[in-house]
Amino acid sequence: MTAKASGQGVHRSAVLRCVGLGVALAVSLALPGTGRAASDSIQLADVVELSGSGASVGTLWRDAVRMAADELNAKGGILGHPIAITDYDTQTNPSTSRAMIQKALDAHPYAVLGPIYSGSVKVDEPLTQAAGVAEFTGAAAKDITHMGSAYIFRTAFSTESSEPRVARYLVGDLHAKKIAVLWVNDDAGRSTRDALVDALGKLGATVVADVPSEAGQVSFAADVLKARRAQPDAIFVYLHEEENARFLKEARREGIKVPLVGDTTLMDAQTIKLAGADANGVVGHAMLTPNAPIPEVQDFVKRFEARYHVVPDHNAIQGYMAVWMVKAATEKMGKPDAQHLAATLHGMTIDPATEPGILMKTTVLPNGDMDRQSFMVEVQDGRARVIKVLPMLGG
Amino acid sequence: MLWDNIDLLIAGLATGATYALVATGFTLLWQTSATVNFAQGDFVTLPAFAIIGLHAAGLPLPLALLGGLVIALIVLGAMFKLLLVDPMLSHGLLPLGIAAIALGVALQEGTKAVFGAEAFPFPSVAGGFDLGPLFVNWQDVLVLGAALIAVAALQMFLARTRTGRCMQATAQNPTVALILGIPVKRMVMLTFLLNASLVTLAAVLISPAILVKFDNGGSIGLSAFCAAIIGGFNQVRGAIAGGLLLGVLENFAATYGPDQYRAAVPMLLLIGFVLFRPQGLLGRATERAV
Amino acid sequence: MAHSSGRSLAASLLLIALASVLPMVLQPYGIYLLSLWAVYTIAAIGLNLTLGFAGQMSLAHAAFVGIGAYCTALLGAHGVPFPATLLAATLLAYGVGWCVGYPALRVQGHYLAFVTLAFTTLVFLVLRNEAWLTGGIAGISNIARPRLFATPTAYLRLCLAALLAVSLAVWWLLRSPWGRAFIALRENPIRAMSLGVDVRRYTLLAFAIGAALGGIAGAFYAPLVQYIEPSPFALGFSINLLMMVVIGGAGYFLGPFLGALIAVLLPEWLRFLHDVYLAFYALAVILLLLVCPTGLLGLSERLLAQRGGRPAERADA
Repeated sequence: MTAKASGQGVHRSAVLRCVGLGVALAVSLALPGTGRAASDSIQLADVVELSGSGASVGTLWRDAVRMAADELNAKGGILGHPIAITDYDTQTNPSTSRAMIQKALDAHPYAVLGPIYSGSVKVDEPLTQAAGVAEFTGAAAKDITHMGSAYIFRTAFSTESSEPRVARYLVGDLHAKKIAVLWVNDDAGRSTRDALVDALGKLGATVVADVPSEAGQVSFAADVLKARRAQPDAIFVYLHEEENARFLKEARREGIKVPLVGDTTLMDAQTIKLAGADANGVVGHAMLTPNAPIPEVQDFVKRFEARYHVVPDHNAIQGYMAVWMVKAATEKMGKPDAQHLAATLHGMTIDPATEPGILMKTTVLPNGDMDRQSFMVEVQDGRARVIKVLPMLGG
Repeated sequence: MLWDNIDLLIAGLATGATYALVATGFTLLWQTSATVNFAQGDFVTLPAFAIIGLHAAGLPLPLALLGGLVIALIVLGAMFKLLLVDPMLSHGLLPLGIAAIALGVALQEGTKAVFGAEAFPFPSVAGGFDLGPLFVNWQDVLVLGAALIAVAALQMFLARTRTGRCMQATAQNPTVALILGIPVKRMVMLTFLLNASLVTLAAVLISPAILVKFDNGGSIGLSAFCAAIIGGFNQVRGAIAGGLLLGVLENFAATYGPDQYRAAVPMLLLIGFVLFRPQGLLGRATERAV
Repeated sequence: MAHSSGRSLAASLLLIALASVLPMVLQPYGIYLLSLWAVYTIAAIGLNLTLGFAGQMSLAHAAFVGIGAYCTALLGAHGVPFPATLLAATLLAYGVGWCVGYPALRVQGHYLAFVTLAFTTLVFLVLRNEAWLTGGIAGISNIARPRLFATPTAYLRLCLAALLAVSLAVWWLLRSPWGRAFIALRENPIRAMSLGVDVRRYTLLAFAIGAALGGIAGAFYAPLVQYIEPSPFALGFSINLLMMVVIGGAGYFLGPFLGALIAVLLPEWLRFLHDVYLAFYALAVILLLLVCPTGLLGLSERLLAQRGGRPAERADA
């Protein structure tokens, strides 16, 4: 074990082995390029979070995308062209996301579906823009559609569109003047919190407690205490489903009586499943909900449950809609024309009356944002119920 | 104010007790076999999934719990020791540490492939009682009580029974223990089985609060490491002190400290302890590993 | 010293040369992966110096890469040219690494691992929370590449040139008295001290130089991905780097090259397994370590020693 500085070597075969590995590398990297698809099918690249912290979000999206593709293919595809979906796992990591979008683009897809975490979207956007391929994202962060790409499309509201609705409900309907805001300190939580605080300020309400929490946090005693001490008229909560359940349990234990208001996740099926009776009474805004009193949505939920044995959440609905947005725009063009797909979508309104798969009337705005109805939802007796339908912004 | 702080204290103790249970098994492994099990957090997830899986398959809850324990004993106890630790232990901390991390990833991805990426609820004890203006959940009392009883029983076992004393001897000096005629190998195996039982107990107690999700292990493991360091690596009762202290401090820091840096508190505590009191709260000083 | 022999340098140069001609047959995806490989290799060489040669168990390396990446992105956004940002990133990481080395003067082994783990988490929290400086969770978008190296192929060649420079420098370092002091430190610190090695200084240096290489990797990472946010520089990346070093063979000059290659390519090869590909990746790592705890190079050495009947050359001597 002495540190003698002799030059006796790693042997020649080790050198050869390295070269061998290098050749293997060359071959394996060259391969993806040969994977060009059969020309008559429409290639959709599903670049989404299938592992890492976003796995639960991305998996439902992917499942819904597959279901949409299968349903379309059963009817003969889009204009007679079958749809082929390829999954790429971003691992909820921007550098992997960039690798995956590059791999997807190398195969010249017709459109890209995903990702959902805004960091992964921001890293992909310049590439889909440069390639001129439409990208449909489930991300809600504000800056996604402010980056100058004409090829980015949301399948959901941006926080800029949804949080003013929450603020109006808090201030207008509940007459709350002092509001405590509890949020998870990550990508989605931060952008939701920023947009809500902004909107509340414009309506003259005061944020009396501004409490960030960590994803995966076990105890919410401190969070609830801080909110309680601020004596708010209402508490706004934006956390992931597991933390929602922990928070709700703690809030009930500490006897919180003021309204608990959320956006989408606080009232979704997963939160209700995890929180049980503690979820009763929470209310909030949902851009998409499987409980929407819309026959197309109800029908979709039934099919999804029959196939996957889980209730589809907003991410699933978005993935499903994305495929149908592609279909609607392609049929409008009369042929699959990847170059003009994005341009065709801008300003387009898709109505379930003519395109049932879109589930809800959807208008694509010029910057890639979208406009739709949304819902106020209340959890009663372990079920989410729509108590109010909010109109589209554009009337 | 006072009641608020008592409330924080109780909630912190309940959370801390869960850390302590995981940390106890962790220190136990370290003591008897010098294994730093970086997959300890994911070890908690496996029995939790096994139990809800068996329960969902129609087994009544007590049988499902038993089934979870058996699976943990086989996979996380015997197989872990025989297939992974034994062949690698002689190569030092690093390869085994990495292999344990990889095992954690495999457990996470494996449970995700079987059960999906969603979280699941876990059966718990309902209700509670009033303590002054506070409402205390029976579940929290159960967790704290069970953790304390488990560690006390373990302590008794180690100190009062012949097998326990043999295990301690093995922990202190395997070579001497062998000369004294102690079946060292069996003792080490026993430690791994004990650890598997402890993580199963932890799974049953923690899961109602943290729920059952494939990637829970990361944060549980980290808290357990912290608790073990704070309590002292070479003391079983240190782990419970470390866990409780960590749980309570987290709550107070989150209430009175800077909001966005609440996660920094356990880390600063960890650094402080390693640098200035590496033997931990209750641990005895060991010779410094120069 | 098997780990820094002329042959292993030759092998690494061959790999780099091969990588630099590969773009001719590659799609942009392959070029990106190769660039990522080069960047990861630089970071892993740094960790190998700290861990493999000087024996300091560090989980702080993701933080060093993060510091380098943020330094480059932030200065670059203010118009500072790339060579200057690269220098700044290197020096900053060197300085921080020197400070992180101090705990190693007191504790070793898993204690040191935990301290450095805590440091990585703290750096992550600062990057996420201090949005006025770092952009916070929203990250930094549209990070520019140096103008002359804007295309994927040109940027790959720049990364490879950096890897080449780093390889030569580290190779030289390991054969210098410094390198010998590092190894003496790992093998037996007390003996090293008695032989007149300034243990304190060399422990800190092992951290600082390893960290500086992490900073360099970060400086190339940011313009490669062109977007950074705090989460890629959290604990998970430290663990990945550790895996690369251990799989390749800690303490072998060539180890990081192979380890990074496997970390980049193995998940890629396993992707046909769909939902369970990461589980199989983890199992493959476990199997590999079971068969060769000293990593791939340790295995090849062992096999050769058995076949040739020569005395086994230890990774560590």
